[in-house]
Amino acid sequence: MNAEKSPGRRLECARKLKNIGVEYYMECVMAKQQGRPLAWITSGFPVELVYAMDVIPFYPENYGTLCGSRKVSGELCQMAEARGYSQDLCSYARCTLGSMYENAGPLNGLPAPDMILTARNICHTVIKWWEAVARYYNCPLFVLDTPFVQGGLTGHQVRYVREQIMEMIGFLERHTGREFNMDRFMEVIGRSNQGTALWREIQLLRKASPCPVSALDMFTCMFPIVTLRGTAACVDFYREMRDELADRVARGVGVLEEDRYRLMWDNIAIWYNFQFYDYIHSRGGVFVGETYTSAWGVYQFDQSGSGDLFDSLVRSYSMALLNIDLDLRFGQMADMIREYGVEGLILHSNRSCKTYSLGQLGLARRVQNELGVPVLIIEADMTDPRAFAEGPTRTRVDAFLELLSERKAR
Amino acid sequence: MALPGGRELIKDMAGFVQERHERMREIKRGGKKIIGYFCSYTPEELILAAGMHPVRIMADLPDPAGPVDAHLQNFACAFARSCLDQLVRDRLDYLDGIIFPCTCDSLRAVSEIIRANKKEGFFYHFLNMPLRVEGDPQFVFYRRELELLYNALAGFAGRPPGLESLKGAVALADANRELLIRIWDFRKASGPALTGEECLGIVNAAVCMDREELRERLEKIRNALAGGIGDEKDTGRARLMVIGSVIDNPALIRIIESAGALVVGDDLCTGARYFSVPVNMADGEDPLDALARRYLGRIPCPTKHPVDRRLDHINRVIDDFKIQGAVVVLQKFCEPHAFDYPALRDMITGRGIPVLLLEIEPGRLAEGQLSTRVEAFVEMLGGGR
Ligand code: SF4
Ligand code: SF4
Repeated sequence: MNAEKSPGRRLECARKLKNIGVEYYMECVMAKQQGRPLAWITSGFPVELVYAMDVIPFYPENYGTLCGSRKVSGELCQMAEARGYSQDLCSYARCTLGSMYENAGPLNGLPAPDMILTARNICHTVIKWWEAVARYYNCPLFVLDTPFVQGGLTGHQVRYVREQIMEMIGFLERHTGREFNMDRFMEVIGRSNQGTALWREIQLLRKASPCPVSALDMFTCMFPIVTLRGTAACVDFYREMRDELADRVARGVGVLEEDRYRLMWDNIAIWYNFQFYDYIHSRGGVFVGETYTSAWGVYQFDQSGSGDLFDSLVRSYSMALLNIDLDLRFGQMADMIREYGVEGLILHSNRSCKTYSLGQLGLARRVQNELGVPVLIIEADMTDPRAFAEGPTRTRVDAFLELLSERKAR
Repeated sequence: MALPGGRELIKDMAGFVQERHERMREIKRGGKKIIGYFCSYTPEELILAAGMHPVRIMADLPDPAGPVDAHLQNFACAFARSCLDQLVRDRLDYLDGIIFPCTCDSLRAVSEIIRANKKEGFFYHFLNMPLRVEGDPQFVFYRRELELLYNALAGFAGRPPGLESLKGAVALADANRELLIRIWDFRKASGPALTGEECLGIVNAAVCMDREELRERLEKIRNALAGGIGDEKDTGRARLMVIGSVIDNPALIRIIESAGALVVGDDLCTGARYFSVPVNMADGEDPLDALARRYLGRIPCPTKHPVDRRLDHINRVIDDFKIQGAVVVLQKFCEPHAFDYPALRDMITGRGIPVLLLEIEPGRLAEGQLSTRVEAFVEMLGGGR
């Protein structure tokens, strides 16, 4: 085996992702030529309905991560800024808008949508961003409104979202000229359930010490659960990933030889600077969980036939991580911290993503005070490299790990 | 014939805003509970109907540092930060409760922070209002949320919710809306008797003052204006409209008007968007139905979808108020408004009307810098004094 350059052991199956990604983006780019309808959608949108209608979903957010890891996000953001879009807007949005206006970016422009679909359950940003896209392409836009969940969903809130889901089916039928087919939908739902169940299994395998997979691989391997949820490719990939992790756990193989510090990550990855995570590995820190990646493990749909499938769809999508109150969010964090033996929490205060970041400071205090787990808050941006001061942040990571090591010595 | 004291009446309104904290304490000493609210999407009528006093929470410049930094990062807009700052410092000690309608992500975060830190017995309510303002499911959903809010308010006030008091509250709020619309209409005249700064003072007082007292004052102001208030603002000044979210600092309008222009129209949350569409309750209509209809049917702000009716409003103001230039005031970090800006700019400049973007940074208003930019803009319009 080759000597590994990266201080943390990477996954074998992650190599396959490249092909999966290329295939997916090819499909998007070729859609027009092949006469297949293409919809731009958000990461929190009930994509199962889209796949069931044989519409190709294109994810501008995922495209943003692509721009980040290809290190072209900075220039694309500037292109949007030159058009009058403020530098303070979500950098995924700026990457898309820049690429759209200037026909630029890793795909040399973007696949033009036949329709665009957006949902409030992750942020308000995607509403405004999609409005701008709809104006540019002059194409039909569907907005799924999900009430903010405090405590739990009430009956009339469920009804409200459900009616919109039905409306959306009509919208898809109208704009594809196809009829919605319940059997086809059930197939997609089945594969979606399989995919998310595997994703949960994968997360659970990280309870092992040494932890078998790094945050880097988790971020990279999110791609299918986000974009291909409901397809066979997604299920196949995660089966393989699960097996590889299970094998590692059985053999006691981890990202590092030993987990010196078991860490948790909150908020979106810093896509343009994976060296930062390598740096943390090199200091003995391993992420055993991320609120970001685990957010895709919560979807679960009732396919029993006796229950209410649409009700479960509404509930799953309404209870998305960024659509629930801070107590619910804290509860999820606290569970993860306890179950995974987390010793330190790193919060990425992400300028771009207000919905994720504003409110984090109180969460940090609660984690510290109620769970006794130290927290480090770092300031950055998921895809705009101009907002990340790497040097000083590394110094702060050092001090944080030092603190964790002192605590362990006690 | 000018009524005596018309100008003073108007000046008093701005004065009231200055002293609003003291005035709120007076109202409270009079035995009324005070409910603070964010955003003009809060149905004040429900607070009034529950026998309590609604007051809109406004920012205090400069942008604060200190306690608020422990709760909210500096990439939230200065308005959200300043409001939260006043709450965490207990500067709004007269408040008995607070209402947040669902609008942007930043205010929703402030709402959550307040909920997590509120004192025992403090009324808190998040009004889950639809993002989409058209459609039947939206109406049904919103009507139910309004009912929940009203029941919660009535419970807090210790009185049963009643249809009659709701009707009365709607009538009062509508009377004030009609008066504000009439007063704004006086700005259509060439050489209007009102400056933009004065209008901002009026509307900002309208959201804090006792609403009965407000009606009396607005009636007097309207009468004074109808009688010809004297001291007309000269006709040669460029006629501008101001577009943005919340403007609570009159200095901003003063800067624009000192450059020689006159602000005669607006699309502001502290302006036309607040009062432009009355409820106009039909005979026998259920008041909650009427309110749901009105708040979904008002001029939408960029946190609502679709935005078309807002663009219609802006176009109408441009025509009716003979606008020659538009100033877009953008709170730094405000996503809803920033996303709409490029298209808005293109729409307005497409009509041959120049647009000036003023981004308001957190912290003190950079008056000198703003003045220079506004002066150049007004000079270009050829409407300086
Ligand atoms: S604001 Fe946050 S949740 Fe919304 S699109 Fe941007 S990164 Fe995603
Ligand atoms: S100014 Fe913008 S960001 Fe600030 S509270 Fe208003 S809508 Fe939200």
